[in-house]
Amino acid sequence: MERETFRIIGMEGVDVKGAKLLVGIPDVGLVGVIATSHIVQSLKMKELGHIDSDEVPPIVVIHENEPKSPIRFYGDGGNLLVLTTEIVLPPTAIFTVSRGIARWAKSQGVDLVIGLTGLATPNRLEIEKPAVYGVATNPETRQILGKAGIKPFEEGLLVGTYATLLRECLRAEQANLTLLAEAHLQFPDPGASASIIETLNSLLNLNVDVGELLDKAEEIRVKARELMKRTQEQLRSLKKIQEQELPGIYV
Amino acid sequence: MAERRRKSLFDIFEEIVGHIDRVIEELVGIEICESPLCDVSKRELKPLVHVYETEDEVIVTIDLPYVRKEDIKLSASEDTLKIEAPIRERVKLSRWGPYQREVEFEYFRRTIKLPSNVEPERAKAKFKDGILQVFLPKKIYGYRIAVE
Repeated sequence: MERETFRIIGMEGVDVKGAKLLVGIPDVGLVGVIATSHIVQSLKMKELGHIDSDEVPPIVVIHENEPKSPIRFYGDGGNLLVLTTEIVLPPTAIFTVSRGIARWAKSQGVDLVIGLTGLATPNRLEIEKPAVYGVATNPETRQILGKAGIKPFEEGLLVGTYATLLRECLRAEQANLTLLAEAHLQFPDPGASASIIETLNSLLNLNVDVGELLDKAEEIRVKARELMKRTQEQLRSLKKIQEQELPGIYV
Repeated sequence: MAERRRKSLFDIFEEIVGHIDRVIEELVGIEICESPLCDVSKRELKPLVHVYETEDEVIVTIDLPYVRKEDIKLSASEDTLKIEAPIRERVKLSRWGPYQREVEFEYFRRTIKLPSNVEPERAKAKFKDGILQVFLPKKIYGYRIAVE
């Protein structure tokens, strides 16, 4: 019998047509995870469902004595969805999960998948307010980028989970916008997450206050250390360093 | 002139094991002796560290939230860097994982093995936004050859 490698559970009765899906998965500076976690808490979003896969590591999150899947969907009752996780996906799961998200989003009529991540910036220490760049999969979304004043990520390589999600969205013809904030590669970066949230505020007309996030920045940096360490190991195995290399030939 | 200490057989063995561990870590991207970044009994946290080297120096960047610059104790030898710093506000974690009670941390402490031998007396450090950067010039071996 063929193994069922990807399942979305609990979303059957949820109308996600026209929704914007924010994705926060461990990557550079944990920017997406910190940002989505803050958005879920600020907007008091409710847990809707989760992703299950045989390729997801054997981990269950226990919160208030209740076991939960490590990759979960949250919703605000409107057209905003969040997919977030506090585990680092192994390379095989990255493909399965990215493909599954892209195909599911397309089949359910999700308007836009928005990946939130960091752009490893060597001189991040000198940057007071990280800039946010965007990459979009289609001309309509690229126009939104321009209107929202988001700088286009003009040239370069993306490596890792968000690159796979972007590629799978292209394959599934699902609109995708990936936002990248200048961030520390190796350390949790709540400042970069705050920049991403401010960008989302103007892009999606959200009203998420980043003051509390910045006030709690040191606490987040202490508590996210172990996840960052695991993410560092994953980024090293995925050869993330290629993003920093000088360009090859593109024709 | 500083007296050069003769390396014992144990030192040499430890160096070889350390080198093999680093090579395996680099190849497969996993830590050999996996351990959490905290020691509850000592109330210590290990800071996140990033080490890289250029042609001339080893640069160590250390994430030190809740730390004041004046509290940092930093020392280096030819091949190690030690950092110790009290945490400004005690960090509390309640009922997490194996510790279903409140645990507190008071110190960051870590010894970092350097990838190349350095000249510790020429090291420089700077601290900004809770991030410490240490620049350790590499020890120079060999002779300059004039190009005619």
